[in-house]
Amino acid sequence: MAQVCWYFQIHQPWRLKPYSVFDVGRDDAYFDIPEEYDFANSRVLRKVADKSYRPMLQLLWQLLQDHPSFTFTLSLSGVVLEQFQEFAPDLIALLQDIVATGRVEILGETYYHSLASIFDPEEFAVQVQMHSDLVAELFGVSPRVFRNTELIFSNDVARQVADLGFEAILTEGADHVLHGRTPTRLYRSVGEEALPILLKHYQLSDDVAFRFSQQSWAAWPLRAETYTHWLTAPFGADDIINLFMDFETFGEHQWEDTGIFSFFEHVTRWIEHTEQARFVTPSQVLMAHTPQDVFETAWPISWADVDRDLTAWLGNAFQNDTTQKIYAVKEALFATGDDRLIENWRRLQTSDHFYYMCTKWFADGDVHAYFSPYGSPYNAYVNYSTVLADFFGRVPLSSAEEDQVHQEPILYEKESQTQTEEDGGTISVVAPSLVQ
Amino acid sequence: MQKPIFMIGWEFPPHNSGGLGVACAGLTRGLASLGHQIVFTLPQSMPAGVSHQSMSFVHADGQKMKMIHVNSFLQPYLQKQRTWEKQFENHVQQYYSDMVEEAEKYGDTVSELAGEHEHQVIHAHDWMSIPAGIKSKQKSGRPLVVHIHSTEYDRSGGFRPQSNIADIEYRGMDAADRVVTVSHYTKRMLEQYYSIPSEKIDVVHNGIDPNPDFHQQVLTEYLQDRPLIVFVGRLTIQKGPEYFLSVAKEVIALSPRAVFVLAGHGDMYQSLLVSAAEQGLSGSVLFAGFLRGKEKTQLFRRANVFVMPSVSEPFGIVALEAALERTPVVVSKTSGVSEVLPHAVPIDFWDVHKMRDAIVDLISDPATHAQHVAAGLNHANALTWDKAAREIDQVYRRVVGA
Repeated sequence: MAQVCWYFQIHQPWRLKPYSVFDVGRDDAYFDIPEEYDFANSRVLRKVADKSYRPMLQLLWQLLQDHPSFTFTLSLSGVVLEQFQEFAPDLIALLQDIVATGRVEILGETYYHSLASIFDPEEFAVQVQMHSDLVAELFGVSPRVFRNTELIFSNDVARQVADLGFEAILTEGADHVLHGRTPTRLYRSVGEEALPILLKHYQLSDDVAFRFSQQSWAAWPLRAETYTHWLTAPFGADDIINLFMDFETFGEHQWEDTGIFSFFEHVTRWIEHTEQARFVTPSQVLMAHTPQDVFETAWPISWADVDRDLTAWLGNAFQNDTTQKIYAVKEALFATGDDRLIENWRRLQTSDHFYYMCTKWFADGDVHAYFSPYGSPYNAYVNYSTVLADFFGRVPLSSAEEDQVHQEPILYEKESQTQTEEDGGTISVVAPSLVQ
Repeated sequence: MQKPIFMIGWEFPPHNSGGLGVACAGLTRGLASLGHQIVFTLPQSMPAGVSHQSMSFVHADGQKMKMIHVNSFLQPYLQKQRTWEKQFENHVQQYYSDMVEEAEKYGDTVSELAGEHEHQVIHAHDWMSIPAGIKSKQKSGRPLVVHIHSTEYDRSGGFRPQSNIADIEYRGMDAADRVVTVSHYTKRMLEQYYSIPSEKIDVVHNGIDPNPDFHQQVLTEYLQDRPLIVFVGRLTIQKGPEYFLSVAKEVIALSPRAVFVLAGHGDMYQSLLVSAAEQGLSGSVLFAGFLRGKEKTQLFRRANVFVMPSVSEPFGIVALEAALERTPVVVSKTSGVSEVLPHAVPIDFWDVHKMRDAIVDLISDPATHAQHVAAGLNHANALTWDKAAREIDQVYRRVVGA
């Protein structure tokens, strides 16, 4: 009987307000976007709550009631939980009811949905702890399994996560790391830690997350019966089918009128009635399986774009320069002991700010634009850079630190990837370290 | 002697994006106050079937002129971003061939209007007005003054000047009875690149209206305690914005808290952003977009230094605007405005080190700063549009033989 592991990611960034040169030195409320803007954080949150969070959570709650063996997994960034508390507190109550069933697993992640695992392991550990604390406070549970921002993973990330005491990690079932192996087994990281790894089945996940409403897709319209067949027919008792996707798939990326809610409900009921599959959470997978094979990559992977790497956030000069600058001021910043300044610093680390600056497919009109409050990656960069001018103005830097901040960025591009060693079917690559 | 003047332009405030519109407004006001009756034609996109539309235009000081909007698609500047060079090049060629055709069409309508409006002198500004100037002269037989505010060699910064545009400029100057330039710098270019005889050219420096708003309150409490160095102009090869980035990099190495702001739009916007990030200038070099009115004042008044690193700038009124806001200016040698601001250190646009030293001097030495503010004000205040209008009046007298 195949095991189906649904994991849904809930995240909204604190978006930046339109920030002008004339605000520099006068306004550090970077995230207080006036309500008249479409992309005011409050408005986006309420809109997505109406279209997706509330109806889908209610559906999940109902399915938990109806089917005693139904289970699923959630991960919520700290910054989205802050926004729930501020703009839609009923969602916190609904989530509390859901978690209180004891049948839903909550994953650990960074509070600020940041790239800290790549730049600053110490800061990474702090943000993970902040997130665990918030989850414990709101839901009374402690995350045991980890998912890094955008499923970013590398050998180095796995080691950091193991050091923090997590029992497993989720990531993308990237072909170039799997080398023909199936993503439906439990893997482990390289080295002594041997952290168990659950891999996203991107084909079956993206059938729902991306292709569901694509009329050009051969399988459109996808029926629950067909999809259930795909989930069960090719798989046996040893297979774990990890369906990892944004929670907003339901109602926001795929609107209600595509039939996505009823699709999900029917898939769930079909699986509940079949003997060929059952629902599991990552912790249940860990109890039933022992990882066999190593999943190893020195070069970080993620679930983003066709590249499945970091180039969605660190693929051009805008992104490289702004990320490297923000992490360069840490020491002087902490010396101020100024909590507001430190909180702003962390909110400025949220990966979405850098995602908006992505120019990969800009000329062709890009999916990144769908998620962006800006008209273009150029505007996103200009706004962030102007905010940085204010932020740096508030941090007293020594002259050595000034030099550090004003350095030219290390350009972190796909082309600089170099293969070094081939060893038993896995290829190790050496990545330039961005850790300062 | 007051003469009816038939003046042909292509931009006018508030719908202007460059210095030509400002100059046309200043000159027509000055000429009107000398008693000249002016008919001013201006291209404007209007509904199909409409040929033109007349209105009475009143300057701020109450002087009047007749303004005729002529239906036309003439667009003063390239709108497209400079992206892939090949694509951009094709776009440039397309743009200019469309604009040449539009300038000829504009000339047909304008010359008919020249037949309907009594005038003694025809005064045409820059290449877009030149076909209209030549055709009007053929129609009315009146003398033609061609006023050069900018040539194709300036605008292209030496990067693929369009020969068909340069050709129109040559034909205009050849057909003209007198040629007026905004600087000696431009006069030399006309002699050198177009072989226009020196004695046919009069230099009339642009003016600037004394700033009546200086005491107006604007926000200046931003970027406190941080040196602010500004660039105000189109982000295009002519204006040398990439040299502004290079000098920013140099100055920041010495004065890390300095902030550099570029205000303006243009085809180099995106490539400048990339270049700023590649040089590690995020958070230190900021892009403010196109600023006008109060926001522009706000920028100048707070700025410690204004830099105009133009590759080739026939005049550069914006440097005078900065001087009137008591901002010291650093301008390239290859600009007309450097002729009227003799206190400013002459600098080659490419000489980033010399530019850096001038900026560092101005942001670190209050005495130097104060001297430059005082000298800039003196020189700028001496340059009025009334003065420029009186000089143009002399040119008119000469062409009508009075």
